[in-house]
Amino acid sequence: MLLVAFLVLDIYLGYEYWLQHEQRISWGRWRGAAEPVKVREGLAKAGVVLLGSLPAAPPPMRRVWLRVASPDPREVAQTFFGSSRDLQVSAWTGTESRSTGQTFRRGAERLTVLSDGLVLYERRDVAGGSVGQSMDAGAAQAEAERFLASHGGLPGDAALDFVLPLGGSGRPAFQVIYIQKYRNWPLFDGYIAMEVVAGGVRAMQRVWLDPVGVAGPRQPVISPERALEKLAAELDWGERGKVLVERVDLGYYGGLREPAAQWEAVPAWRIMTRGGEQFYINGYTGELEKAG
Amino acid sequence: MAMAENARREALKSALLAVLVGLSLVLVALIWAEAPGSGQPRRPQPYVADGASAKAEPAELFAPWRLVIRVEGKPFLLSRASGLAYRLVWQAAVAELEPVAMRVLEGPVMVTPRQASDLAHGATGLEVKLPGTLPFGDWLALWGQRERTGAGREGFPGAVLAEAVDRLVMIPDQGRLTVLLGGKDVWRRLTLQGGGRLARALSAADTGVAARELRSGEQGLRVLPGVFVPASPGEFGDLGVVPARGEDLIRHRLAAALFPNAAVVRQVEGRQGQILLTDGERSLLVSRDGSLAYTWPGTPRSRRVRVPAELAAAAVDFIGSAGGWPGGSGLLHVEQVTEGGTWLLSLEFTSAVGGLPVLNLPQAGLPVLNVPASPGVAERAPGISGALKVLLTQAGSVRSYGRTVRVANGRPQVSGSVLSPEAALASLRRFAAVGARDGGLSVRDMYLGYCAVPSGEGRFQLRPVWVVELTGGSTGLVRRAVDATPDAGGRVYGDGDIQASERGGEASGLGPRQGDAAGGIPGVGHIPGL
Repeated sequence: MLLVAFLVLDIYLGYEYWLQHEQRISWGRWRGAAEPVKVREGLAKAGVVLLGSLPAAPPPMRRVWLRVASPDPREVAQTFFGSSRDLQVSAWTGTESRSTGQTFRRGAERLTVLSDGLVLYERRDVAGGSVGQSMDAGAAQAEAERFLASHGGLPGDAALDFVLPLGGSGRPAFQVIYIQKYRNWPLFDGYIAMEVVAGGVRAMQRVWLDPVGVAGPRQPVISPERALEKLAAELDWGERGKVLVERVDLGYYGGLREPAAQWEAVPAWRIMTRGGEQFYINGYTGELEKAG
Repeated sequence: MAMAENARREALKSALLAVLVGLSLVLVALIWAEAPGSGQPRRPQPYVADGASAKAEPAELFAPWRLVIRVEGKPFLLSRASGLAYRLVWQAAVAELEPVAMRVLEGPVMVTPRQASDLAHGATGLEVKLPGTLPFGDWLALWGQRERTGAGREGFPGAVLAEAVDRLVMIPDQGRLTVLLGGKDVWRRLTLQGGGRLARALSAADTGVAARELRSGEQGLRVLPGVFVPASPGEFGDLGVVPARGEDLIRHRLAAALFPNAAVVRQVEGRQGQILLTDGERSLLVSRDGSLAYTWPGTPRSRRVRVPAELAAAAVDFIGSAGGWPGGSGLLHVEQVTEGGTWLLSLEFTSAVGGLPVLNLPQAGLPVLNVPASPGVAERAPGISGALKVLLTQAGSVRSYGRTVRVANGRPQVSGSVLSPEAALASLRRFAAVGARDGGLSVRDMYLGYCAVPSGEGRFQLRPVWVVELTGGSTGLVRRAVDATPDAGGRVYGDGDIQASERGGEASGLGPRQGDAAGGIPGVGHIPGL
């Protein structure tokens, strides 16, 4: 009888452990399904309007070790331009960074590859289009894809993140962002950002990472509702009127302002508003890591 | 046969039961380990670095580094290096201020600095230059009268306890004790009943270094009254270069001491080998040379406003649990730093070698003289500093913590005689012009100490220096306070750099020791130098 009792107990415990790992029961669900509804009501009171649905409650997650891929600048330039023919090379002289680098010019195109992994591209002769000219997000994305196809291609671990209209001049312009992914999670520190105008891609900035592996134990990650609640409390959106939240994504965030040899990124919720503001909430602690 | 079969079956069932029980325990442990709640904030785990102590006696930490005593008008210097004589005099002085045993006979009466000076001259007494300005009641609490904080302090009038004080003179005379409390341009005189214990200690303390008052003179820098130096170079004793090393700080234990939940702390490896740890709110930078810088700009839960003495006690506990106390530590500087409509308490402690304070340079080979910033301007440039610096909010939370401890690990290499104070000041003379642009600099104190200078591969040398404290919070270091080389004496540390700064108009390597509340520890809050 005792044997049977322990056998049943072990089967139950094994099932629970499997659930925890494979079905990935989140902290939010552990704490009860009533919380999301309650939090949503609280958010509405705080003036936060969700324009889309929220992602599912996340599983416990580990940290990820990252480092910047720093290949040979000449190889980068050769891949980017297709060949090294007619390339003018000069040393990059920055004043505010300790990075060193090289600048490659061909015609109006200029590519700078820095030792810390940042790649900058600029083409000054791209026509900006005329005021009132129409160009939609789809066209901007297509233009960005054409550009990447002819300039080294899109990395295999990249995915389109968003296309955002750039206001100001009256001429059509878009920001097209691709994000790096690791095990299907976005790495918010790794991206390709392009400024696309009617005549093509005018500028590009790229930081591509080399994920080293996971680190630390699995830690519970707060629910997206909880992240919004933390952000609302932090920014006091009630005072600012209604805020339209366009997207809420979970990924990894390191938040470096300057490059390091390598660093750990933590799960973080990225909250994007309709105006393009981005907020990063630490998935472990709920702290606002970066605003704006 | 059947019995044997039964026995085998029972043994098998027992073994199976044991396996099932063991498996259930393992599964419960696994589920528990990953269940939410197991990652919830834990209490920080105290960490004491190798060679440091978790406990420090506040009465010793906050005792002055030096005492000037006068015996029948003749001045002597007593420092921590003086050992027993120093302790006896200081303990006697503090005991005379015990509220229970003390009775105010007269005062407080306002007196001029000149009157205060006249009272001290020619008498037998004690003079103390305190390492900062605090209400007198807080000083008393820091010197060990904590149990009488608040009510029951019938000894001194409340106005006296609230008086901001940075100097103390005590003159015992035939059952009466004259106490002079010096603040900013104001002195107050009280006459107390008692003074016998201090008088006895002073008369017995003839082992101090004979001293003389330093006067403004040919060296070109104005010297404020009350700066005492040893009377002759022979009084200094032997001083030499001491080999040292940085602390071996264990990162994960520091993280457990400084972060409420070390499990969610992430790590950044800098290109120069420094490590930054952060949970998104707090940050801890550990450098290769064994120094650390921690910041927490967050809002503490407690809103209760505490007095400086309570905050200082909190700082003592904090340092004791986050790295510990190096040997011979003492308060180097304390200051209430205004920020917005409130103030923060900045406390700077340092370790000691042979009773002399050990100071750090902001950058290897660069610093010299800290030129004060304009009042109210937050200045992030680091200055010459002690080993431990803590900035606390009024609620008692630690806003920032800097730790740069150099541990002596060898015998002093005695190299020669000590440079005279006048020669040292003369070597600072060229910087008087720099100071003049900010309204002139005056010497408010001058004493011997050690300066930690990198000597390669994580090693340091503690070199004897003259420390010259100037008005406005500046500090000058004159290196080669001891030097046998005839032509090398009195050169100002890094003087080539200063000349370059003057020509180029930059303030590289210069900065105030005080008033950096906004910045706290430079370079933290972002990722510096990576």
